[in-house]
Amino acid sequence: MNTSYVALVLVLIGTIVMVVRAIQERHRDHRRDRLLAQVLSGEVGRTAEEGTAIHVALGHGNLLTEDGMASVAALETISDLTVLAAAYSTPPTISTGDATLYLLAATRLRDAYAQLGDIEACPLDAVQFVAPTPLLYAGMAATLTRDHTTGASLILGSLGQEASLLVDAARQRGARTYGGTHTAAGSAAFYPELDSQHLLIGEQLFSEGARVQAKPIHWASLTAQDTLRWLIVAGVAVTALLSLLKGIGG
Amino acid sequence: MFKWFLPTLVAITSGLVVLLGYLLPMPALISLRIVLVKWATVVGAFALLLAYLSLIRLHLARLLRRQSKQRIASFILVLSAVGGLVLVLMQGPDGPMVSFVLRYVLAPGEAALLALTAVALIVSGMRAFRTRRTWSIAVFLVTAILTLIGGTVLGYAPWLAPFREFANAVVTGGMRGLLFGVVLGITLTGLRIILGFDRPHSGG
Repeated sequence: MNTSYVALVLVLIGTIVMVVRAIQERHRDHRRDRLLAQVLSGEVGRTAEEGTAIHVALGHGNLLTEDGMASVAALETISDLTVLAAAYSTPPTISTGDATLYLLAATRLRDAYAQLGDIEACPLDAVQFVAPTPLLYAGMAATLTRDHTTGASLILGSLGQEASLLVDAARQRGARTYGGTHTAAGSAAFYPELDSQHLLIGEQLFSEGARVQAKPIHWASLTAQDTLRWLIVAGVAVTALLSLLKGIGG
Repeated sequence: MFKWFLPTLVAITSGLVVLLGYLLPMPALISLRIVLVKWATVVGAFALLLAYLSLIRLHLARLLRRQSKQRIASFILVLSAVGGLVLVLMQGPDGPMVSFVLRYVLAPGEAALLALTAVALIVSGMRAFRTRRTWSIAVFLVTAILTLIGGTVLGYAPWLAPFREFANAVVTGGMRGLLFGVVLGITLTGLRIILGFDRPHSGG
């Protein structure tokens, strides 16, 4: 069978499951189920009390590539934090290593201020495009972590092994650190330094982004994700079994 | 209406066309997909220009602030950013001076940073083993050390071949498992945007 049709069928199943579950779950209050996002929002108050700042490193996920979805998920994860930070008038420093992501992050921060009816108060240099390549980005963002009076460092998005430079900078600064990425190399950089409450690995980054929004459609999309995963697992198992039987049968 | 309806309509339409252009072998959809992707690339180039200007503006402002501690760093950054642009405008992206800067300044600098990441990783592994003596951290450290040894001549010894095969199988299995989850996450996040439930472009 053509792989495009298999992908189309999976996309259709995902859409149907997502919409059906969204309708079924529309009355449930999901905001109690949140985990990391709550901790992140709590950081706004903590840093404000300490007189320190939050540095959000969003990585270099270009919105025109598949990495863009990791950037969108990272922005969703910090969406409550940006609104709260705008309310406290303590905007985080957000660094990006990609121009399209820079525009999106700046828009999101402006929207956070607009929600409070004070768009003029949105600082121009809160969102910074620091470098166009992953390693240079990590080097520059690590400098930002060290230079500012950083109390908390959130490293979320599309990052490879260069994430270790950012984590190391945050550790040296003594900042509370949270990390999440969808790449194996990036996860390896986070794993030894962060415990499981402060870390999002692989698909957790996407699911946390959905959980933060806490609307029925986001929970439904998580159900759809689980359904598709089991379909793929069943497909892999059946294919392996058939290959084995074919091998035994000669 | 123009704040969210129009951007959402454009996002849904173009998203659906590009997605179906990949999945369905219809020539009209494929050509439309190619046009839309080209437009997106042009928009991306303008985004780079805006980001570049914002970078210059930020560091020029720091330069003008007398009490700023980062004036020297900002000066070097502005100088190299503007200098790089002037060089490319004068000689084109493949000019001799541009190639020189890429080969002898940028590439060695990035290589040094890459080497630093390996050191940072090992140091953080050792630090983690001191503070969190768990099985998973021990496995992480042993794997990191074996991988480093595997990269040397020792790693290619014939008697180590079965171990290499075993390690490859474990790594490939783990990577595929991670990748399945990531692909599903990307698909569902994209679907929410394409269907208009999420609007990252207009704060929704």
